[in-house]
Amino acid sequence: MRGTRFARIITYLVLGLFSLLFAFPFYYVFVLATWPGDRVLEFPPHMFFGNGVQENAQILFSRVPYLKNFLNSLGIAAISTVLTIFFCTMAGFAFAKYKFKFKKQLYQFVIATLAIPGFLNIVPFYKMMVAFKWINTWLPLIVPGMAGAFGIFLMTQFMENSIPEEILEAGRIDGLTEFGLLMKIAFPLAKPGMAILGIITFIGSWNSFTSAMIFLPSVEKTTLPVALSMLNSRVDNNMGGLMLGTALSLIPIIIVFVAFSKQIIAGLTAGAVKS
Amino acid sequence: MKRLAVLLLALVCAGTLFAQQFDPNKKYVVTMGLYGDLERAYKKVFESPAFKAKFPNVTFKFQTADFNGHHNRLSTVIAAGEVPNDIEALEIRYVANFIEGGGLTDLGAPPFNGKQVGKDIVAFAMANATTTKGKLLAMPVDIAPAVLFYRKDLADAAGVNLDNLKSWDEYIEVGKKLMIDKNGDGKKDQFAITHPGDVALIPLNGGNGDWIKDGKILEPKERYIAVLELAKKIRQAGIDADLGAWTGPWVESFKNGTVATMPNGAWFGGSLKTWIAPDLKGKWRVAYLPGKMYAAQGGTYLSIPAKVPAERKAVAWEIIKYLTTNPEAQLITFKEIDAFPALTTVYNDKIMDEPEEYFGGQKVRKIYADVALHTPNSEVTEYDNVIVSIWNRAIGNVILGKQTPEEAYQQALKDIKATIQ
Repeated sequence: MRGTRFARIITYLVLGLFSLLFAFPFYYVFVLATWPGDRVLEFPPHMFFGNGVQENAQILFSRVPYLKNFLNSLGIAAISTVLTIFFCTMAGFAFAKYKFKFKKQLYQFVIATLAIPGFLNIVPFYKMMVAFKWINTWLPLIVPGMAGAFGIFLMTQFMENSIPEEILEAGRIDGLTEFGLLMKIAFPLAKPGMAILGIITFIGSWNSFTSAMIFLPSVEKTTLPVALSMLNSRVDNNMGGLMLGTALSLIPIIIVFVAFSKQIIAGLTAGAVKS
Repeated sequence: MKRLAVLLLALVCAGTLFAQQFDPNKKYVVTMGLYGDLERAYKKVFESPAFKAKFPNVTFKFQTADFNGHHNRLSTVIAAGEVPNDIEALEIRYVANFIEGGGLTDLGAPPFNGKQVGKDIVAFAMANATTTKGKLLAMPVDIAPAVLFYRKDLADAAGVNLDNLKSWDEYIEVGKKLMIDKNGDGKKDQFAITHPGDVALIPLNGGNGDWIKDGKILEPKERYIAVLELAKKIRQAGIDADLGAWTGPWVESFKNGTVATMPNGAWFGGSLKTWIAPDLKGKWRVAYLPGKMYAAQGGTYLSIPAKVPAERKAVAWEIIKYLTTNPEAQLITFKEIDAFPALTTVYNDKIMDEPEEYFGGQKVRKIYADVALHTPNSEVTEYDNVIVSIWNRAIGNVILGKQTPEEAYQQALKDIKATIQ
């Protein structure tokens, strides 16, 4: 009994230590966001909050249309996430639960596209977007990623392991259409996988820099990472504004993670326990 | 029939020429792709009464990002053969990428005749934007003459003079005297320089060009070996603080006296003054590089992408001409962001003779101008950026003692040949 309690204390101590280790960078960004620009890089580093928020906010909001950029990032990330989850789950369901001609080859082709580095596509991709007249719109940052290879792979693997054939058969016997099976059985059972895909997509879209830089040239229409890069200067000291902008940009990520943490953990542990 | 054809041809040519002309009465919105603080500086120029009087109908749209983001976007758009902004800024390190690859308008050719227009622009900067085939791809708007920034108070305390160092060897000897254990813990906590890498490019025209000259790579060999030896000697002498550039401790080292000198481009003086160490007013000074070496460490060029339509090229060229050859525009940019003028006629302006309070009343601009006028021309190729990264690796290996200068040189030579052939 005593041994069990001791082990538990050690476990909590180790977990607590790791939690602090992972939480510290977030805390540190918020601390730096409160120091004036000329004091951000001081050594030894600041561990507690300073009094430069007002000054930093003045720099941040006067140099870039931060609110617009924030809403652009939020809109692009939210729409990307919803559409990616929807289409990748559909594709994953098809690959996992249906038999059709050339299924194996098609799946291999989808997986093979993962091996192509993104920057190799950028020039032809840009030409396509110009031809579609999609420059300065959100579409290049949303549409091509809707049925991304990684999402399809993730959802296929998840569906294969988490949705028993028997449930689908029972659904069919009860008169569900194939789309009904997807909506009423596959989607609810795939929630943990969808949460994982959702958070990966949201964070990826939220942090996306190069695509936003190229496809959204207008400062009013661009996203947060591009807007924040405008503050990056060697002559001017915008460091305080940059840190404040970065700290504020972390808030949606933290909210998304906290809101979906239950599903994310369920998704990560799915398949770990044999039922 | 022949006459009619000639007449038609003449009409077409006249029409094209007319379309390429700038019409001051027409409204234009010029788009500019910029990086860093350029937008702020150029906005000041465009708000000036002189500019407004000359271009009452021209307005601007800016696309600004950091160095890498800006140049990556530009490379992608140009590689895709699409139309970027009417005017695109290029940092000196990135000019080489476009030297032979195309994508930019030859501003040396008619109707621009940029070489004639830029006759008063400092020669080395014009050379850096000129291809081996003589095309002028961009106009230099600001430059960064390389000098030695140093802390006068620390030099005085150590009893050394950094103003007229005869050679880098003398710099190392003086540097040893600047090494001080300030808190008495038995360890040195004041150093001469942040890192030996700070001198990796400066003796080689600041890394701008001549890596391949007349088809020969890294020649003359002695010149390159000497730089590797210099980095090695600095590390062996222990006069560097081993600080990575633009990290917190690096920035702090200029403020708290950990480092007493810094060889860098003139723009660094602006950074010291405005945000790195504004409280040290009167304590920093500027000297020529050891051995009165002349080099540049940074600079901005303005280009017109080839795909920009002819009429927009005409107005873009008018704006570039104004920014690069109008003394008032050059001085506004200088005052606003400490970007040193590329236009040599400005060097005679009284502002160049003004003492700078931050540098203890020293007339530092005179030194910058002198360095600019004496910096040698160098030959730039499209491989320069790759070569610089290979060279930096060689320097790193020598500093860490992984290779001797000779081994590092041979390795760099081999890597460069493998990359470009």
